[in-house]
Amino acid sequence: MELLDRYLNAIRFLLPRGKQQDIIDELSGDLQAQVTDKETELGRPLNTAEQEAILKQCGHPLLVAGRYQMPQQLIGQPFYPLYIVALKAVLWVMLPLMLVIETVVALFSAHPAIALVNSVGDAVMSSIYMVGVLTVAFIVLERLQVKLTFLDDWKPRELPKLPVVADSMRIPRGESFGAFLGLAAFSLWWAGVWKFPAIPNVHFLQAIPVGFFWPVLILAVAEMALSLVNLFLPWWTRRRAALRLAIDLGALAMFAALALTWPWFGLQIEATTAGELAKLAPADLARVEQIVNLSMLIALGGAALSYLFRTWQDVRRIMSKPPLGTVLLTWLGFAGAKSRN
Amino acid sequence: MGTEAFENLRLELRRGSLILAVLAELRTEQYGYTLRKALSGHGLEIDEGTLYPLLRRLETQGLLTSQWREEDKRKKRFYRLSPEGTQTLEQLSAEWRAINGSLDQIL
Repeated sequence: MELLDRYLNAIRFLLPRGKQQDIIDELSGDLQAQVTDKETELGRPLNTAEQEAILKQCGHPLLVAGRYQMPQQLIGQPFYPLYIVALKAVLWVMLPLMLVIETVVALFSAHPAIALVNSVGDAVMSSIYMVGVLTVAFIVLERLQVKLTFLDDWKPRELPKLPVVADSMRIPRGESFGAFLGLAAFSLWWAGVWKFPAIPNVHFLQAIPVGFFWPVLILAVAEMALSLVNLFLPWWTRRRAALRLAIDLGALAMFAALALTWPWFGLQIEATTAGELAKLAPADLARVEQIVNLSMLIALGGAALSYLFRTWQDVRRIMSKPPLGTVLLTWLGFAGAKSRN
Repeated sequence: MGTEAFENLRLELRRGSLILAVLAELRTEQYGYTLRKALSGHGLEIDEGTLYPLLRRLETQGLLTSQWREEDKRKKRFYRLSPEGTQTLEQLSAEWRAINGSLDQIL
């Protein structure tokens, strides 16, 4: 009954959170009872067209879900569930997208820190504006009594397929292999075995303090070893989750210590001729240094966030709780998603 | 347009009557599917997309109580009238008979 699952999943996505499972259980029981009755009557399993007929008679997922919403004053049925989907799209897609764009623009402005703060404000204001426009648009649609023909003319077999949720304890081999290669390259570079080609006449000053050399190398090698084990035994155990948690906490502590020593790099460019010396304005050099240091600080922030997320995931694994991906899909209304076992 | 207007009016007319029918049927405990079949047996067709939200609304209003139980190896939600629902049904039935009587005279 994949079609029934897809139908129920489409409804679940549009239902008020907290009531989803209860409503779906009840609706599923009714639809299954209808199928059983029909099969008993015909003396054979139902074909796809017959299953579709039952679902079509129940109604378009948008209409069915809409009937479970509280009556709305401004935006009524069947627009309300559509409005909620559009709102989610604005807040979960447009807002982060605008934040990223504004941040990139801010980094290249004359005063990145001030521009960064302003950009957050701009992104939030733009989102509020979009929510307003969206609300007005739906109120107009409601008032004009626009008929949504797709609610009558729909095909259950065209409903979206069920999302596949990865087995929570499985570790993709590609992920382990990629991590191992990346860490190996990093460790070689960090240990000075593998060197990037030097830029002529450019010298980096103020390297990261030497005290960080061994902690970074030990953490990188430990994670490399863990990736290697995960490559051959691709599933999480509590012990391995605990080991990675220790690495994560070590990395987070190191990121914090590293952030305190910022800025990390300075530049010195040798002028070989008097003409070149005249071209090297100290302000330009300072600007390049500022961009490099700021980019590295952002990269460190990103890495810290990613390790924080991993820490949370590892704690959940140790406590035998479902991974965040599954929780997120449940939150978004895909609780009935199939497991890829 | 005439058909659409008729359809809207018909739905409005049915909506109120359905609530009364559902409350009356739930004097005895039933789950959604059997309730739907019972209503259909009396000539009142109601689709599941309309019935279940209605049941929930009536439960929120305190007129019904519900309970999940397993029957025939399936979990089912059984509904029945609450004491408040019984009282409301009596009042609504009296109202219905009065309206029906008046309408009979008018029509």
